[in-house]
Amino acid sequence: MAIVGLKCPNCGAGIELRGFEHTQSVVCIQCLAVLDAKDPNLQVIQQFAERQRVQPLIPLGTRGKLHGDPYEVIGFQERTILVDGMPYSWHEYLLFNPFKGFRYLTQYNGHWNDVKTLRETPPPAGSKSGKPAVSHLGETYLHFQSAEASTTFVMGEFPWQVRVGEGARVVDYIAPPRMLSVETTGSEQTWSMGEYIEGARVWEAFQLRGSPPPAAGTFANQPSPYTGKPGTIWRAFLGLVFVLVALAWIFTLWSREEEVFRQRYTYAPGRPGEASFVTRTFDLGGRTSNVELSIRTDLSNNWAYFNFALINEQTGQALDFAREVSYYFGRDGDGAWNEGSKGDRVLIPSVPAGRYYLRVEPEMNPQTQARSMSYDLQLRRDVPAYSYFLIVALLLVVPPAAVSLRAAGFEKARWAESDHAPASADDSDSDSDDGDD
Amino acid sequence: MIQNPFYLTYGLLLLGLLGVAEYRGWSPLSVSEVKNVPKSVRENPGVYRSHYRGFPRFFGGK
Repeated sequence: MAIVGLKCPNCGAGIELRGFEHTQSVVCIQCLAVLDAKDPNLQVIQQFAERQRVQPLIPLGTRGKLHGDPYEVIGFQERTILVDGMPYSWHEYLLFNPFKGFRYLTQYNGHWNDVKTLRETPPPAGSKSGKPAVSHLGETYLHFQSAEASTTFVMGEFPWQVRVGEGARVVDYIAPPRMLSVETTGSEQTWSMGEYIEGARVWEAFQLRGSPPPAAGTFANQPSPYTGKPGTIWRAFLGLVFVLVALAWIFTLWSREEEVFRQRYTYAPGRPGEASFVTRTFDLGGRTSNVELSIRTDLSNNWAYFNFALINEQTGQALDFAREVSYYFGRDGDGAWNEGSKGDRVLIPSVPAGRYYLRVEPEMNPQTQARSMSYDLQLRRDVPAYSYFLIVALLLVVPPAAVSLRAAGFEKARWAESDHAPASADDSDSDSDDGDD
Repeated sequence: MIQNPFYLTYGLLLLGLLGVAEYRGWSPLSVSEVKNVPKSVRENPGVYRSHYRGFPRFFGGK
């Protein structure tokens, strides 16, 4: 691209014009005076009173390739909005290609947008979820934020009469990763469309040294890393639940649930002599699987403790375990109450096939007033453990629920910075993630 | 499902584990395995003493 060389009438520094006849105003890089590029003598339009410079991350004159076309950075401006009295500033880089025209790169808190002005005006599309919407190329954009923006720093060339302090009303609509913005200055309206672009891609496009500043917070049109994920993971969940239900059905049909022993006993705690006894022998057939032991008592405001040993008559191997049954009830100021249960049910794990008997040793409080306790013991072979199916269903639901919560959290963080922030996020509006293009 | 290979793997592992647990009859019940129980237990159950005998008891009640 050809460069026209001139001198700044304010400080004498060299001025380079890269935008040809498109350049309406140019800002001296040395003294930051705004000059009229259409005037042969570069008349000073505005002198920069404050000497606080803003250093662009992409230096003016840097060339790079975007969308396969070469562009040169010819202008840079900082624009600021006030939200609850707090200034929020973002940077705009003006890019120029003599054949393709202008486009912009905007940057806020490490979030970048590739912006192009639109020739057409996107039509209104009613409102969705209480947010006004516009439509563009078949896509609906929801209103995000409206603000009064002012230019707080300028440098380089611009295809309009740029001035520090220049104000415009900016309204943003989003359909991530895209954003439509309309700027109104007086009676003039300019629509532009931005597309979120990773800082790394900007650095790559302009061959910049180092790495881009890290993106902080959630930006208006930042694409959610969870887009589409909740739907696909919930569909996978449904598929797995279908398999789970099929497994439950298969094991229900397949399990033997065979009663191998049932007997009623009575235990008198005060009776002298050995309390323990053994049952008759019984066969446990089939593969190694569980055995369900059910105890049903007639306890009343009392407890009983059972020491059990399921002994294999042939091998002499015993599976030793204990169960406690207690049942209490009464009435107090809160009304009737009860706790515990008169019965118990337990699955004895992985019992190989064989001939077995049960050694039972009941215990009760020796001071109890109850004369005796009657109880039933029942053993069933190969009983499906439905609690496992419930546990697996709960474990299966954890990842989809987590993905959905995180996706919702991302959207919540996005909209917390908008004019439509949820009520609970009102106080967080002063966070640093605000910005406009 | 293919779009979620990690979740799919996780889910299939859980279902596989469930299948094995059901097939083998696993249970969270704490059981002590005792070998070589004397045959005389059949005639005299008192010669065998449970591992759990003498544990603290719950006396319950509100």
